[in-house]
Amino acid sequence: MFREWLNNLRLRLRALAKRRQLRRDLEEEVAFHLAAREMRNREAGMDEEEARYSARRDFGNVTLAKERSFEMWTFSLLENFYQDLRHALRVLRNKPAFAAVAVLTLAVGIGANSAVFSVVNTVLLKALPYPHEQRLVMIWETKAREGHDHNVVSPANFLYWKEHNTVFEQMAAFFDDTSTLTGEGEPEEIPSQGVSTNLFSLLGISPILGRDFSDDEGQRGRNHEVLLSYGLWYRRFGGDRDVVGKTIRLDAESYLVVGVMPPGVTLFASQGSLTGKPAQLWWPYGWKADDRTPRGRWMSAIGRLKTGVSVTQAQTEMNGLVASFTKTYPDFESGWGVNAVPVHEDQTSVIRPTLVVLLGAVGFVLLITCANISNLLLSRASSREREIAVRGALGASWWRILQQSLTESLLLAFFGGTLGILTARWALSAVVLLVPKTLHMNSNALDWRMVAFAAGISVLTGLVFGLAPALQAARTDSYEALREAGRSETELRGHRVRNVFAVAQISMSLVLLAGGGLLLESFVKLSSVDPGFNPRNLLTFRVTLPSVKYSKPNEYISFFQQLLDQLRTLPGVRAATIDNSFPLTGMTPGTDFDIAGKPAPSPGQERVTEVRLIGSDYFRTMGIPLLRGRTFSDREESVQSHVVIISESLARQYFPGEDPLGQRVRIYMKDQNDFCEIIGVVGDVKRQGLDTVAQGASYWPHAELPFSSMMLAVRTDGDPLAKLAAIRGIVQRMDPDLPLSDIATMDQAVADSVARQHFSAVLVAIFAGIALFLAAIGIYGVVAHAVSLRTREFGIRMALGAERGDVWSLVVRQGMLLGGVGVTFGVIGAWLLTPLIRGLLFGVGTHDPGTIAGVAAFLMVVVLAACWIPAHRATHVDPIVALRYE
Amino acid sequence: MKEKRESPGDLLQGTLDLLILKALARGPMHGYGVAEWIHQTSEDVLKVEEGALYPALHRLELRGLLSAEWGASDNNRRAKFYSLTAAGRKQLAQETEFWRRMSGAVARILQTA
Repeated sequence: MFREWLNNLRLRLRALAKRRQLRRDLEEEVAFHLAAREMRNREAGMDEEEARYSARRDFGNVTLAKERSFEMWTFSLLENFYQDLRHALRVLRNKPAFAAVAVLTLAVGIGANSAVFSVVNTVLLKALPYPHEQRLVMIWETKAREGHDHNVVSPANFLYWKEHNTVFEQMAAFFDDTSTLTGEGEPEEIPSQGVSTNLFSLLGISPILGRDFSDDEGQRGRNHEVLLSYGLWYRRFGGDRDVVGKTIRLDAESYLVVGVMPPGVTLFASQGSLTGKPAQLWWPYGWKADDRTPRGRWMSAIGRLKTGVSVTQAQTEMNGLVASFTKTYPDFESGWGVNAVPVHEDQTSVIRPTLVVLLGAVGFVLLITCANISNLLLSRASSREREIAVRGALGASWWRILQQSLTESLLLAFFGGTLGILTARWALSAVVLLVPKTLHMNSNALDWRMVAFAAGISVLTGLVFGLAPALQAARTDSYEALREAGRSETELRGHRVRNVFAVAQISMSLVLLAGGGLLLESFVKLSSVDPGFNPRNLLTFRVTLPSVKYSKPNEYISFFQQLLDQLRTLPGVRAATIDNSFPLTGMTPGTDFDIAGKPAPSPGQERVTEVRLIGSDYFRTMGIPLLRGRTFSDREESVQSHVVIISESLARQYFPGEDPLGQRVRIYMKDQNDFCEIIGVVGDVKRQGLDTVAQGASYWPHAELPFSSMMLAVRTDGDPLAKLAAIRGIVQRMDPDLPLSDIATMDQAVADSVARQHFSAVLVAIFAGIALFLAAIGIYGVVAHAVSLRTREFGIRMALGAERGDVWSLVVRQGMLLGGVGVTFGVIGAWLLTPLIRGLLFGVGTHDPGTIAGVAAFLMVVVLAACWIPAHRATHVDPIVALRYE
Repeated sequence: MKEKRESPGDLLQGTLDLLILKALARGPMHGYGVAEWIHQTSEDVLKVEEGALYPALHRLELRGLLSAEWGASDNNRRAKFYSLTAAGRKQLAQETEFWRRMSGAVARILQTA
């Protein structure tokens, strides 16, 4: 069988080179046959003419026999395709305007889809670089009462779980920190991670240089080793292979570089991050004996499931462990639970709904694109009906006509797709600027997946938009089409299909407009939320004092006070202060507290407060209003005085109907916790995000609990970044080894905090805009086509005395009818679909009648505008010309 | 639109192939000769539309069952002569055997009243 096929192929390939001879031979062979038969006939007594005709009759269709025989020697499928392709190219070249519109429309549709796909692929689909990724599970504590389901873990819990669980092969802990690198080059604060020594072996990653941490390096005092990230190694150490075994200075201490990790392996859990930044170096956490005593929660935990154990099983077991831990430590653990989340899901959980919505929206754009081009092709097909009818009459089968029509569509799709990939690349550069920074998506490079995706959807769209026109062409009735001069049945049928497409376009645009409208409204509402402080012209940065150089709390206090004093003397600086962490940037410490004279709450019902450590002039600098009482005195700023200022919501929650001023609270934040007197109440600040509810907060002067790492806030006249150089100069004069890190403006931080909402609102609005534009073109095309079909009718009407207004309204009524049907379906569609974006909305209902009514009315106006030109043309039909039409 | 007509008259394509192979078993022959032979041997019972012979000849040539070369005819005209290849002979034997069994079976069935 195979040999026969091979032989066949060989013969046909040989024939390929001698086409002309093949034809000649065939001619001769058939001519010989006819001549021989003719001679026999004459011998049988026929006259010359009869002999020839008889021979022909016996032979049958001469051309067909020759063609059939010839086809045997050719690659008919391929050759037909090649012919079709050449024909399609010719057709497109003859109608450059049509081709340009179709290709550009497609490029927009395919480009937008490929760009969104690229984001989804990078963020959602790409596997994490860890072997056994499917078995990696993040473990969070939960506190249902406060709605926390991704809370960091206490070391005591972690150690208990690690030792008692039976579902994990290994468990590891890590937490984000910062380390100040000094020595060669400028001092720099580098995001780092303290890790249990088994983290990387759990992830299944080995260093590309040097070695991993060893188990005994996890003991306190022995943990002065460090692993470098690939990026840091390259950037700070020039990719020097000899760096392994060298000592570097971190936080003014010596650390031995034991290895360099491969690129892109950082395990970053944004919900548990204290710094909000992926680590660039790792050091082993040295466990302490009293880590087993349940106290604060600050670690992230990850486990690798044993083979065959499901996440659900792990969750069940962890629930049991938490229950038994709660029995031993009811004060600490009551009200807490546990949440096991596969690592991939954990990393994408926040952005996933946004991306899914974007994917849906951009898919709609592609459907509208298809409908649009289908309509373009259909209107062209009806003007090419004659051509197709002639081809049919000359013997082209319906299958050949279908093939040819589809080839044209696929060729358009090919050009559209090619241009679409370029569009996608360009669009992606724009999208990357919009993508929330937390996604760490920096690359706008074309990867093969995106190109493959674009190619795939190009073919698919080519088939989808080509199908209706191809079927219509193939069904063309040659006889009818050639006979009739005017409107034919086919043409009317095509028109019905086009109406359906126009209606579908309008419906889908309305859904997109409604979605875009709701998202934009949410974004505007969110942006206008009062964060509780004034973010304008506020520069923030962090200064961390290394513990080797600054060991006493008094040194911290005086350092920051001196720094503030100097900053305030800078021209253009209005105010300056410090805080342990600023709103909207990273996590903030929170803890339990007691109120003097009130019974302790039952376990699980603890009073909770955020704890802020602030410098002088804080509330004025930040623009937070003092509602009652007073702010800290100079003495209270410098010496521990056990006074506290609380936020409005804390006062409302825990001192309902009483005066909080003068009451005393004990906040469990230190080793030794004294009662502090409440001296003031200030306005709430939305720390976790503009869309969250402000949590109760307590403010201590820095002197009450001196931290060595503080954020500074400087309020300036005009652009705060313009003052950066002067500010840096002041810090470096005080200590040349101190880096400024996390430099940002509060305006930027506010913008970043709503970046996700901004991202989805802007993209969906753009998609809706494209959809609207295409739908307008669609309805214009349909109405204009209808007008051209009815030119003669309009002429007659006007000849019989119809007013221009009558004809005008006839046309517009038709367009508005289509628009009305489309809008009706669109409203139903929006009603059904907008609940899907509930999670992305803020301050606006999913069925916001105002928005839906607004976009519906807007769409009708657009439809009216699209009908205007064809209607105008219809009213200017000259009856004489019209009657001569065709 | 056009109907497809692959098979000549009422003849199945396979049957036509068999007749061609059988005709050529007697020695090389041109297309006209094959047509004549079929007419004469079947005593005009099998009506072959002669034009349909040529696609079949070319198909068999491509399948390697026939080989072809140009030569001179009886009246010294250039003509294309087809002859059986080894594969063609084998195919003919197989087909003949198949037909013999087939027609025998059909005949037996028709005889049982």
